[in-house]
Amino acid sequence: MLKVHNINLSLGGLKILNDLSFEIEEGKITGLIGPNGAGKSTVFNVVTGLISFATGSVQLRKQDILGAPSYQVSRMGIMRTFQDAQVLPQISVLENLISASPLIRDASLFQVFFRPKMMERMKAEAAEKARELLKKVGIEEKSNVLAQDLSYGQSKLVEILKVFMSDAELVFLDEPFSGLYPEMIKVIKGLVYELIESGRTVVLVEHNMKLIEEVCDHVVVLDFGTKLAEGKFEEVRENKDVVNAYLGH
Amino acid sequence: MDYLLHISILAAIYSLAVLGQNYASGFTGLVSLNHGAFMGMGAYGLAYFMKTQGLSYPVSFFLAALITAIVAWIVSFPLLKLKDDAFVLVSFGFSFIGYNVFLNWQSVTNGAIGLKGIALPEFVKTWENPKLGFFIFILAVLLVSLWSLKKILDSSYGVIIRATRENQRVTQVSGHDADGYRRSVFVLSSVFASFAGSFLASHISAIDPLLFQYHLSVLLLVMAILGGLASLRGSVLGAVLLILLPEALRFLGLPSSVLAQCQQISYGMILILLMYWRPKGLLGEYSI
Repeated sequence: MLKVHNINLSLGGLKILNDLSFEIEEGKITGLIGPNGAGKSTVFNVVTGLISFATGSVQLRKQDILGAPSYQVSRMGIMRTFQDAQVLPQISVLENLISASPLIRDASLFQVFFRPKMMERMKAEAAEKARELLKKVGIEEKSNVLAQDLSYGQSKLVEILKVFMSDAELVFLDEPFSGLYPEMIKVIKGLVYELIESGRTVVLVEHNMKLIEEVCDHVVVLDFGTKLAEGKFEEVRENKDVVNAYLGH
Repeated sequence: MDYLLHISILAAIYSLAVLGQNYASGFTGLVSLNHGAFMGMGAYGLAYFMKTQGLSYPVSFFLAALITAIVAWIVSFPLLKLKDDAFVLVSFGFSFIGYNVFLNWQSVTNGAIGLKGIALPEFVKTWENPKLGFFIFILAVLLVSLWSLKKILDSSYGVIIRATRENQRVTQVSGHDADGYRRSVFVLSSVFASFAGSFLASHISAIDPLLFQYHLSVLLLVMAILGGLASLRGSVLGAVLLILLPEALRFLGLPSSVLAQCQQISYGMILILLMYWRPKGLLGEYSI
């Protein structure tokens, strides 16, 4: 589904990604693991268009996406979350979710004044879906609360719900479980499986190896911007380089 | 009566300008300090097209707004590459450029002397009290502007521009061209400032570059912050309060030279106190 080929990236003379290549298989959960500074989040930034000056090639269903602006990458079907749960703080939780809906894409001033009914209908549909999602995870009473007033765990939850609001086929989750209490981890794990059940493909960065082992079908290990190993978790954890660089004994 | 009308007209004109300022700064997070220059463009544009080119009031009014919008669109390219403090500083720089253009483009602006004899619209001259007719006309434009902005802000378009204010990266990864939206807001906000500038020129009938110095841009931002960022009602309230403030200071019986200084100091004090105790302003829904 996604083919990352020979990606190189330098920042201030420092090599961040070094001839990195891997593939993401459709309908699977792929874990991107490695020590801090290995380049995992940078890979997310490159693929989702937030870093545009990497060289190499990134293809989504054989379509080149490297260097495309992030909003275009999103429209091609890639959505992501951030390591430090980035909600939109001074707007409501409901509007946070609506903002991720493809139904309101390309909203224009022309539509505001000349197609107001169509625009209202789209927004209402998006709002309805958002309310359903909030209800599903049990925070519907937060829909009109400013997102800045959510707890850390709820913010993480809202970020993942935004993925459900979108029409993304490929989802990059950056440490979705970090800093969460066990009950919330369970909820988010359920949502990750639901993403797969709904036909999406998931790539996730995570430091909790127990969770990686539990949820990932495939694992890619990075260190210093280079691929150390890839395969099933049981295979890579036996790899000496991986043990030395990351997992330890 | 004439004095009251004068103050009311000024309050309505500045309300219109602050609506534009707040649309950019409060609702979209584009804390701009060059809307005073956009007001100047509306004022000079109207005066130039009416007096030098002999065009009618409505045509001059809309041509001035069109030119302001084009300039805002051009300016938006370098500006939108910047964030936060850098955006504010560079927009402030553009207000200086605007002032210098007004001061030095002799053939259009008549330099430091400025332009005089700028007329009211023809259709208000038939009123027994043309100024009253002019006030009602500005009030109508203000109400239509409020209605239009409310409609924009309640729509999906409004959701997206507020999202860009909060986090451009996150808005982008949700599939929205954040810069495109921010640019459209910046341009439309400049049109409100241009309208206000044109009205101001007709109301006071004579303009010069000093009127559109950087103080004006600061004043518009202070009005928006006082009334409340991201609040339409707050925009009007902030403008009305800061138009009334200097009038209230007159009753202190201070010499006029001291009075002018007091006004500037009071604007600064208001800004400082608000940032400490009420960063959302009086009716605001967003704090910087």
